[in-house]
Amino acid sequence: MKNWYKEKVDEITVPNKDTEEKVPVKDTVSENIKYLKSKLTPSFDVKYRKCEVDGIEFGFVMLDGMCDNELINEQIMIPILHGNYNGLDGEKVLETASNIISGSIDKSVQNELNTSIREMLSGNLLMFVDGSSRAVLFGVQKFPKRSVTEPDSETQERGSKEGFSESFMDNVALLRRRIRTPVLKTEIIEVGATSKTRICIAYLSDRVNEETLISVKKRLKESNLDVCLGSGYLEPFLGSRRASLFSGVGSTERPDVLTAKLSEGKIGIITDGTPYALFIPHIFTEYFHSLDDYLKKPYYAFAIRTLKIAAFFIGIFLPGLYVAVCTFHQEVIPETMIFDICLQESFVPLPVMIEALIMHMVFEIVKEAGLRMPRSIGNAVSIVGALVIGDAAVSAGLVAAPMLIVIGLTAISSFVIPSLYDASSLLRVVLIIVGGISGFYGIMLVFAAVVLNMASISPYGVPFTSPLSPTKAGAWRDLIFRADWRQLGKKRLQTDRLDK
Amino acid sequence: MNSKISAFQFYSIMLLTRLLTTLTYTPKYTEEITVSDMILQTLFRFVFGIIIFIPVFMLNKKYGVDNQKGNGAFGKIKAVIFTAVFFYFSVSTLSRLELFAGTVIFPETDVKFLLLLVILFCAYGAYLGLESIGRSAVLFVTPVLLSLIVIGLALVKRIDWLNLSPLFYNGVLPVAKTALNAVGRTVEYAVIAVSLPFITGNAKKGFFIWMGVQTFITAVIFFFVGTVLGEFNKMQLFPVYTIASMAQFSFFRGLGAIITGAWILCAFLKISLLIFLQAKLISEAFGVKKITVIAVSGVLLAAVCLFISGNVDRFNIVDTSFVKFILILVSVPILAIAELIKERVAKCAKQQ
Repeated sequence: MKNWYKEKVDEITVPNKDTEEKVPVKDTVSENIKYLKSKLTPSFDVKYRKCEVDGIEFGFVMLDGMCDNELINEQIMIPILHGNYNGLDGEKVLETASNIISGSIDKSVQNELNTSIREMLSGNLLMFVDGSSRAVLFGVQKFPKRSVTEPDSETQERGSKEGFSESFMDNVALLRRRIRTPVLKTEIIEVGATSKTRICIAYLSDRVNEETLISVKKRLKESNLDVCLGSGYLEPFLGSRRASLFSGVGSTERPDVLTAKLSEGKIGIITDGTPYALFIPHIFTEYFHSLDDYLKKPYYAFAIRTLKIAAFFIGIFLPGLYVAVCTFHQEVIPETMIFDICLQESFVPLPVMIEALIMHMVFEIVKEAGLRMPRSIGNAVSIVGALVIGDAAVSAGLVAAPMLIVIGLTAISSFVIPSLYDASSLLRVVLIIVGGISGFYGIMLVFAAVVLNMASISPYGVPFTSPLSPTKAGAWRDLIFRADWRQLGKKRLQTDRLDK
Repeated sequence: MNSKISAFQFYSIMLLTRLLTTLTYTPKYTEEITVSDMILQTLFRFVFGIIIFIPVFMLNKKYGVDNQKGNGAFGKIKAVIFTAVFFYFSVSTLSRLELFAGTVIFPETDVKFLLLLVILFCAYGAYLGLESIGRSAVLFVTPVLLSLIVIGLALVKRIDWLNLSPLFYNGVLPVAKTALNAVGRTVEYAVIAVSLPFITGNAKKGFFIWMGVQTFITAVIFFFVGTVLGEFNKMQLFPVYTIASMAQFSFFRGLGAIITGAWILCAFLKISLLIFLQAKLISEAFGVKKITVIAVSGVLLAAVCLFISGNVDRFNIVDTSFVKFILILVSVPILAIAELIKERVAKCAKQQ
């Protein structure tokens, strides 16, 4: 069966491989440009320019729309065209020309043409000189990008309003601005045989776990991707290999959160073109922490975290428990309440489990529609979904009012921790089904299996359930209750010490 | 699967599995003794438990825990005996769970499907390994104990001190006999004997703490059963569930559902652990893949449990205290003594 499926997959796929060969830079401009054209044509946005100064031919190649034209004209072309190259050979001309360019522009020398092409496609200006078998790249990138804005998914009351954007260098700079120390290291690697996406591995060298770092680099290098369009592509390679709803890799849109994670010895992964950075290792209790917890009084943080935990459990268990109670365990509900529930449910033609599943599905449809549609229409859809359909369904006797309350409360609760929404949504459906088939019995069984699965995740030696289990009493100072900064600030948490 | 777990994690599993035995006890085990003696016999269990474990401690002290693994023919025999013990107790636990589900939760439904579901989940638990089971146990201990405390508090007003009888009302012998039977039903002794090589930290100290804690909890549970139900406890199929169903906390009533939850959590861990140990022992002794043993064990469990399902006579055979006592007595002290003798003989032969 496995082989049959593999064969079928092989029929329609090819393995990803880097087909680039090493081609040295030729010593004539025409030959180099000819090679580039052979590789890049047809591409209307690639511009080729040739000029001659003191009898020596210069060749420039750039990507229109990716470079700062003003900068090229004023800081590169004018100085080069006014240079004096009399009596110099090609290599000397190249050196002289690159030296007269302002120091504020990045320069790098390349011997290989395919690497030069790749760099040029990233927005660098490529320069060839006759008689030189090297090329110079000038960092003149300027392309349309979103400015640094407040993150949508991690809004904070008192935290910074800056979030990561799609611009790779901006994201790294946001991190640098918060950690002004030489121990912040930013290594760059490329992922994706075709996309050649830049990935930045950021860490603090004085506290990072070396083994974890090596493992992360190895996993990224071995990630056999063709294109990498977002950090989500990398998660399966970096996270636990075990089938699970959780992965052991965290993500954030906030540079301040990533800074905090790095300060605990974690490793940050910034992917070019995506505003979500990843951090490793990630533990379950971190889902319930937010930056606001640390900016407010500890007792307030405690209250908020308790609420979040309650909301998480409500979001997962409430519909399943309601179904189980209505179907099998009526004895646990106070008499007055059970009469009301029974009365209302008696008008509904469907079994409670089916009713809950349908309501859950309706909610997910409304949510998806609200998310994908233009915002103005999205709001209207939400109103129609919530008020019109809900109210009409109850009036028509298709849904009981308590069920509507249960689903509504569940929906709101599940949005308290957006990063856990996917997992909780899936679990909710499973628990509704097992609650309807086997009551508390099935619910506890699924709960136990999920906890066991969570406990089995520790992709970098740090258990996902730590510091709850294995219990690390020292880490409890910032678990549900957060200690005051006078205590918390004295010593920082070292994540790799949460192992085993 | 080769990882070790801390003593705390390990004894958390042991506490929960032992708690399961207490929560699911049926009065036939204590029918010869009165309510007060039921509480008192827990102390006898404590003493008997330590006595039965002395040979294992001696073995460990003399030859170290790694010696427990065994090799050659003796290792194979040992693995087979322990596997049989664990399989037997898995069947017993599952059958009891099925009896509970079939009579209390779903009296009008066929629970065979649920039984298979439990086995499937437990096989998955066993596949995830000892480390995962240990970590989960630590996470489950607090909610399980808290739920018991809630039920205990809710039952305080129902305590009737007049239900307590004079101590040793029927003599010392029935109390000792009941305690000895209880020791025979404690598969945890066999589990600890096998698992010592996988435990880091002070396993011996942990053993005594575990013995103390589980004795205390058992005594408290028996106290509530005895004082709330009195001699009526002997007419209940599952007395602990009965008192939990009588409990009322604020506007919540019928807290038996909480006991059901605790019961399922503990049973899941216990059966997962027992299947894991079977896989571990057989794979080490015979070189079979662990996943194969887990699958075979799961299928056999399902077959046997389905065979027993719904038949009280078959259930009684599986649930016989005498058989369990013999199994525990063979697997824990006798095998340890045999190994001590074997090691001594080998040492003498080496010296000569």
